[in-house]
Amino acid sequence: MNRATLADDFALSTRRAPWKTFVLEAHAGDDVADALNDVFGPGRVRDTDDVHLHEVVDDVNFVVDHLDDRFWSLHTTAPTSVAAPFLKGIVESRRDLDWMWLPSDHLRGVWPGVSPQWLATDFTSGRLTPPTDEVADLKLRVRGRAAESVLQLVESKYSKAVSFSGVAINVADDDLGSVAEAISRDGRFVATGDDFGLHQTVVRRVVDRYRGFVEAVEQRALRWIQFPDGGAQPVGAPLVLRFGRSIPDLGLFLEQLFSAREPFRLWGIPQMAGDDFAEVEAVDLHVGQQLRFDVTPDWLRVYLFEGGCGNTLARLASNLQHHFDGALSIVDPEIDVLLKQHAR
Amino acid sequence: MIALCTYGDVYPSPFATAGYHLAGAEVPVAVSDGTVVIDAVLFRPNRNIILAGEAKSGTNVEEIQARRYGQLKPDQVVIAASLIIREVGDRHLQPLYVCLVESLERVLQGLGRSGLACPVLAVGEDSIEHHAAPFTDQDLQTAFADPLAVPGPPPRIIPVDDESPDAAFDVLVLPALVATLSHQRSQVSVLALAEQALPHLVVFGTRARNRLLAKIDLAARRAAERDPATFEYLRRTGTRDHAVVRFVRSPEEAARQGRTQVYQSIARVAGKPVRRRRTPSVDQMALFDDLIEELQQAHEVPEDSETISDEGEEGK
Repeated sequence: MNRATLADDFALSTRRAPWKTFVLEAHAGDDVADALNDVFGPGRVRDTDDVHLHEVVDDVNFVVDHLDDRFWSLHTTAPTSVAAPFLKGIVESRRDLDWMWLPSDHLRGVWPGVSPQWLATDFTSGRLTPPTDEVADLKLRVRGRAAESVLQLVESKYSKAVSFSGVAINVADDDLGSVAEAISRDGRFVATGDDFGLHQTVVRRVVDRYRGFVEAVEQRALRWIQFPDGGAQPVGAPLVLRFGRSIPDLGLFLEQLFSAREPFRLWGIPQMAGDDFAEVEAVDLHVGQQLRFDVTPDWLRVYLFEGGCGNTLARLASNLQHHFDGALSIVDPEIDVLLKQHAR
Repeated sequence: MIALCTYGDVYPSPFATAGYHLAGAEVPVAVSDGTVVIDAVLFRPNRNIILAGEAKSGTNVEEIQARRYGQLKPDQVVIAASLIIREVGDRHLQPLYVCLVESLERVLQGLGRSGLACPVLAVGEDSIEHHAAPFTDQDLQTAFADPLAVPGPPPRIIPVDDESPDAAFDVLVLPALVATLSHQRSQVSVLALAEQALPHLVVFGTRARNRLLAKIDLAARRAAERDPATFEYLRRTGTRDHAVVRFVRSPEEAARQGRTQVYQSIARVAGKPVRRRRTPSVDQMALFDDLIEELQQAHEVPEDSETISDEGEEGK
């Protein structure tokens, strides 16, 4: 097994069934093979010709490509209905693996010059707000060349309830070939076509855009540089999410956001420091890291500390887009640009 | 003061706009009759201007401390805060006091008694106002010419110090315990807990740090007393340098739903629920939700009670 045989497998298998690539964010340390054995269990991970490719033989078989040591690609031809729950069980039981949490705009334009053939939006205010919102739930599936235009029409009036959850595109290149890709907001790629390299390039572009956001957030994490004779210099700053709508019931919002429930999995005891201001020392249970929040009806300040994972903010922003405000922004303009970047 | 120098926040940052950056916090500097610990050192590198800031949360100015601020020389601060000087020329230093608006009169009186003439910023709920001496930096004088509107509380970069009340440590220690618990560790030392709960611990000198450790120790003990089903406090011994908190149960050992419930029960034991405003139409809308759910049952994935969303999370 090497990249050439993987490419052959792609070309052969996609005639029968789509190819699936799941991207996981991993904090595996230096020895990825060891980490894979820890994740899937000894005896289930096999070496290949390529040190960055491993085969996993388990209830679902995967080929794990960890050339990118932070964002692993797990390839399989198993049905999504089998592979996704299998990986969900693994990701949930660990603190060193997570999904990608693509911000809404990252799905809006995946490939320059290519219009989506299918777009899905998914907004469910659920328990974060009373079910009396102007638009409490909005799910749309639009198929066809005008998919984007249709959603832009809805967005022009109800942008706060439009949050992209899936996209499908056809990418063709005179030299490389063509692939059809369907991509979900949690980094699931379903592909068919004749060129594995092009499929990998599509995956890589989405991952690189996401990585840019996550790493910029991590550079803002608060840390302290100690002086030799006492004192220290703080570096970094909290990040503020600004809402396009006010939180209608701050108490309810806080109670639900910090309830340890999926998808946020934030644990905390909000302390009201005024009618419209709460301080929360919280834990991100996805990764077991401590965070600090200040919350008002119009904005939410997040303090990420040294060593904190940028995926935490990506997850929060992405899930708030899907459950509270599809039009939220980040006050720091350099980070906001990365939240909203997409290919044109 | 740190907030006023923090770029990219909803809180205004006039110092950052004028070209200052936060160069240090809790920086000790020896002067002729003792030491002054500067709460915040702000530095404008293109003009070599240093602001030595003292933040007063109370009403009283310590006159000795204020006099020492008056004795500071720019180059002492350059050395203490490891400032990088890139422009040739004189260095300038100005002390700056920041206080709460309700303490302004007392602070101004205290500064008057100590003979320190410096700008004072009074922080209120809605605005910040400049009082007392003018800023020597004309850009700051302009920035604070009118009251500066603020949208709410500033960032809490240093939420507690060694003089903070005990209760302030309880809200920091419990999340640190929960974070450790989520990693399925069997116990955590109070020292490790302090480093987790107080990321800014390194800012403080040895004496303040030891006082902070003692407060964290007490908070850990209180957490264990409140929730003995989850935490056990084991005091320091001859062979153990720091007290330890042992985890009696781990939420991570439970199945998915049970796990969330254990985490929620830890929060319930520790704190009061947030005050909640009732929206009158909630019950009516919940009934409506039930009707829709009934209607869609044949097509939808069963509701997952573990998700924020009423319909589960995309079937993941």
